[in-house]
Amino acid sequence: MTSFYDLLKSLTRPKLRIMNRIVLIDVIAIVLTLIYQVYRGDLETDTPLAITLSYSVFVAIVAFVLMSRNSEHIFVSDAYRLIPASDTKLYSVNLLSSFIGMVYAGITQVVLWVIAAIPFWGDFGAQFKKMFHYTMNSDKQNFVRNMILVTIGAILLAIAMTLLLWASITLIHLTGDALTAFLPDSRQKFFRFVLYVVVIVAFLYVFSIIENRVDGVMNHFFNMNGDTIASIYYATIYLLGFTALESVGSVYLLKHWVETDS
Amino acid sequence: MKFDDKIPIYYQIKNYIYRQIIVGKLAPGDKLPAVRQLAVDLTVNVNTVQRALGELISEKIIEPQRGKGNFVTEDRETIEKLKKLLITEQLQDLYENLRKLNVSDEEIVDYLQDYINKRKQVQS
Amino acid sequence: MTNTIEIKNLNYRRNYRSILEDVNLNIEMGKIVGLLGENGAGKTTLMRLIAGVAKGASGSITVAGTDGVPDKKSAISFSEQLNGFNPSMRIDKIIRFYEDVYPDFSTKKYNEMAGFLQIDEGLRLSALSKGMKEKLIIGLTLSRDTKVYLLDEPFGGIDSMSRKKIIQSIIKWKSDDAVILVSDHYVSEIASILDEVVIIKDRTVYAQKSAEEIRSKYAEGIEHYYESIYEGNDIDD
Repeated sequence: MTSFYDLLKSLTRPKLRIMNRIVLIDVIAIVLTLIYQVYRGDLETDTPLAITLSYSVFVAIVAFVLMSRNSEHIFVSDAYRLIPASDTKLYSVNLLSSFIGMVYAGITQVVLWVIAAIPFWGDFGAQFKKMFHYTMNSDKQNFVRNMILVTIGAILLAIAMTLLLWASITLIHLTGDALTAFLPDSRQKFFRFVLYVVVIVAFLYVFSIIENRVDGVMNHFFNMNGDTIASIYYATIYLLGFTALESVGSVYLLKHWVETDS
Repeated sequence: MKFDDKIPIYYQIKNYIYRQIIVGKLAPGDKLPAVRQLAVDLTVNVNTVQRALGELISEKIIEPQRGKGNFVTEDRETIEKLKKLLITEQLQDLYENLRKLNVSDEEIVDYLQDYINKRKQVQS
Repeated sequence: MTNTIEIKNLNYRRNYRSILEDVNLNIEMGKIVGLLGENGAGKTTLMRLIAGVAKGASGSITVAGTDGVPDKKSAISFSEQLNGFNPSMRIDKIIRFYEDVYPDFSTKKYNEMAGFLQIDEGLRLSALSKGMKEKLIIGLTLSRDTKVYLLDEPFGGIDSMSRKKIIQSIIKWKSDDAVILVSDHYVSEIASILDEVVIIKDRTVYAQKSAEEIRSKYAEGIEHYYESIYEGNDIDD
């Protein structure tokens, strides 16, 4: 049996290669844009950072999509489905490797932000000192603590949302794929398209029903009107719960219904 | 070796080894190639080679030596008998085929002698 | 003699069509078995079911004593293992993938075979000729140490010199208790290494015979026997 670590290595490498390509394009785009700004005479100290930050949004979206595409391809490829590992292991490693890919992309973006902020580091230093001075001297010690909690909470929430989105895409894809076995042969392409539309609609419908029920239960047991910070964490757990549920469904489909393309 | 797919292969392998021995390519007491090597050289299944060798061993044409491999028998008499057997088979084929063409026994000898003489002439 | 592969009452349907019906098949350990049948008869499907990448069949498939799919995957090396690789992937990277992902893969064995078959390692997958690709597939498939090898049409589009080399590789590197299931149209070329022949016809196992038995009992070549079955005039019992 293939070990978790060996499988992780093999699934992460191609994803990191994809990320490197994205980051390369990102850097080239930033440099070209900067050159263009110089040409236009619009260059200011905060321009590099502004460009880098706005392109980070694109990088995040493209990275998300490409990680997803790579993952889904793995679930229907012989090269990966023939590996001696349980479908649960394959699924978890696949999801984890996508996550590692995103983290890697995130780190590259942070590095780029820091580099882009060099022009006004001097300013930065002064601002930071002012903030530090203010927080250390005020009674608002809680403020720092809360800032940290909110930041961590926001990051965790973002992670949970990303995982949930990936898990949902997988579940929809695998459900659609499993159902294609029940399509009549003729005009497969057309029926497949209709099928996926139906699956997506059904998915959203079921999702909203379950969400309502869970919401009702949650409101009954927890009164969270006051504590906004805690609600961020509760939302994270909530989303992770859904992710886990969808994952169970996807693994079931992998085990019993989803074949490979050939 | 090109095999005739209509005849059991183990049988053809046996014949192949018989001939190797008779023409001297495998001398008495020589070690046979390893089973797997034979199989690769002849492009046949290892099991088939083993079956052939098994029969050759029980026919006492080949002698297995523990840990060392399979060896051609040193018993010249056995080899002579084998040679005679194969020659007889060829003669039988020839005889039966000529008889089917209604050639009589005396005519067979004549035709054969004739043929051999003609070949000698061509060669010289 | 133990059976490495035991298939009982296998039925497989897809898209409202029956593809395999009532398949019962036992293959003893150590045998090289030819899987013969016309295009679309179900040979590839049968292999995919055994390997576990085709799903939804009823009946049972037991390999090396186990029914569980991940365990079966440990015991099976399937020639389709290359499907799904990025075409721009270099061969040496593919080998590294195999080393990581298959604990039973032997790089040493692969290198021996690659040398014998003359596989060029610096190339990308997309740059390989069909023949070279088939050689790579065989090299990778046979370098795993498993109980079962499934080779689906390993000779498609290969010149006869390479075919002979591949067949010799199979003989040379096969371990005694391993089962090899080969499906191919070049029946006459692999006929000499087959222990048994399984013929798929009418969506089921039509016949399973020992190769030597076909030759001795019917004075038939394997190919001729197979053709006679498909033409409907079986010279059978």
